[in-house]
Amino acid sequence: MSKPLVLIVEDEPLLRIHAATLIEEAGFATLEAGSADEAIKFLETDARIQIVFTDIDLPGGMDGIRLAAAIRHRWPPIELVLTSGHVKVSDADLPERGHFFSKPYDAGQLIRTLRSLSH
Amino acid sequence: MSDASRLAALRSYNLLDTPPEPQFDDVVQLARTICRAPVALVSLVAADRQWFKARAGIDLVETPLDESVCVHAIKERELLVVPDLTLDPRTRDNPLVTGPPHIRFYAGAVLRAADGEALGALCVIDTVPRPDGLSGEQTASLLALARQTMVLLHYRRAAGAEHAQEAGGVGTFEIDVASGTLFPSPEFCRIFGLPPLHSIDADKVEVLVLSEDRAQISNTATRRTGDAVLEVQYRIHRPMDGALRWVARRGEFERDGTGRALRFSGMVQDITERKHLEAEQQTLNEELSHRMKNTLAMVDAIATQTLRHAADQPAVVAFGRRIQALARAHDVLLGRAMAGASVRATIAAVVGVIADAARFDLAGPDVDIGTRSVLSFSLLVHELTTNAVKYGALSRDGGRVSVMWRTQIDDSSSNQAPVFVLEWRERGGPTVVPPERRGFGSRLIASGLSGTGRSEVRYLTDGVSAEFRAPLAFVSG
Repeated sequence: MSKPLVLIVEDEPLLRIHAATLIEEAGFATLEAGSADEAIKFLETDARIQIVFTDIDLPGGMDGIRLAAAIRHRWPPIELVLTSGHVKVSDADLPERGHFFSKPYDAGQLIRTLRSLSH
Repeated sequence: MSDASRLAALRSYNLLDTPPEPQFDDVVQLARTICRAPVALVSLVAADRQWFKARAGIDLVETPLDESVCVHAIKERELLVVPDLTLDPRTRDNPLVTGPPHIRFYAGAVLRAADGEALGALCVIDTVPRPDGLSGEQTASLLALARQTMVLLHYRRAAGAEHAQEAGGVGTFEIDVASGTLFPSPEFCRIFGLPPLHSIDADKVEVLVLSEDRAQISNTATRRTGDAVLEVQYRIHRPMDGALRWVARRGEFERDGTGRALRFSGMVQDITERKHLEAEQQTLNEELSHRMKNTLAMVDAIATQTLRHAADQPAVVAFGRRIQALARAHDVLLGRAMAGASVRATIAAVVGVIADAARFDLAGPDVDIGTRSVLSFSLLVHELTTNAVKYGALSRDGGRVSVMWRTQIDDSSSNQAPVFVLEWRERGGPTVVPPERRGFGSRLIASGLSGTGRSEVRYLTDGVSAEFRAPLAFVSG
């Protein structure tokens, strides 16, 4: 069985590399996008993506919350995990079945959540 | 009375170095005529000089205190008369006596404010001695003129205060509870965008308040029962221009002998600018906090990546969690606009990083930790929680932690300063033993609250029991 595929959306390269390392070491495959537009391109071309792990604060027109809402609308089965340094992220901002981690997040908790979503 | 309080009273009148005003010029002319003296002055005695608000028969506008006779007059109850200034030891060496204009006679009536402070004197001066001083009529007139001068000064200050009220945007009002009639000051009308009015129905003002803010303002019912909230802030739509303004209102009830509310009066202030500044400050705080937490996330990422192949992986995990504990404490701080954090909220946020908050019992009064102490406090709580999860009560099903805090007066210290006490008690865990190695965590715990070192950790058979003490001033600072 192939590894579950997680798309990581994070504009800060260091944090993106870090997330990719953590998630790959936990037994997932990853794709890395630096913006919402890049993320949409991956989603349009790769149907294997099971989970999107996205930062909320992204450059350009579309932030992580709008990206998540768009994914929930266009690709309903995909699971969504969001992260941000902002304190206030209300439940209303999160998509249905969305999970949120405040930065800096705990690697163990993130991996546990990803595992529960990939089954 | 001290000279400081006397000078403060003088300052409150805002007189020094102001231009001449005709009403005070009239006073000195009258004094001069009545006392048949060549010179009359309204002299105010400041810290380093006497300054003349009004003068007749002399060109000086002020003199140093060693040339002042009024400085001696203000020590009297109401009047100082010196028939021959060359004979009085207080004045015989005064340069105005020994040199030109060679003054010889002085009579000064003290200008005394309502609170008893002497501001200066209304005085008459002659260049020839007057062995008989002033007549009875002249004395009575000079005293009466001094009292009139104080009345003038009082009104002058009150008028100035009204001016200041306008500048500061503070309006006043009074509502007659029975009739619901509101009597506004001119500034009240200006703040509410109303034409200048003598009176208006209170409910005509209440409708200017935004409907979502109307629940908190006073109304006919809450004024009758005397239950209206005394300090409120609300938004109004100013009828003149439709502008949205923030208003702060402070009121108080005047009641009859039976406690029934008769009048509701107070002041209002336009605080729109302040509200905008607060909102900007909050945005800035959030932006800064966001950047700081991103930086902490980067530090965590760098450390984890750098130490990926290090032998001691639990240490890397511990590092990441300490960073997270700091970030959580920061969240709590930000929630209160950086003005401190509550003990309860901080503990709850920090233990939640690695443990199930439902296994904690928190009990204590509402106490705030200051911005300086909250980060070290959160690290201390984090280390205790880490130990509980690894070795203590939380390493087993059913184990619990209770955290209690209180403030008390420390009997052992001589200065009776309040002390903050934090107790950490684990129950239902395995038998615990003191750690063999003294790592960063146990050093943090030993250093106690705010690094005061007043910590006591006991390893009891059913769990750790720890107590920390620090002067409340350290914790809330």
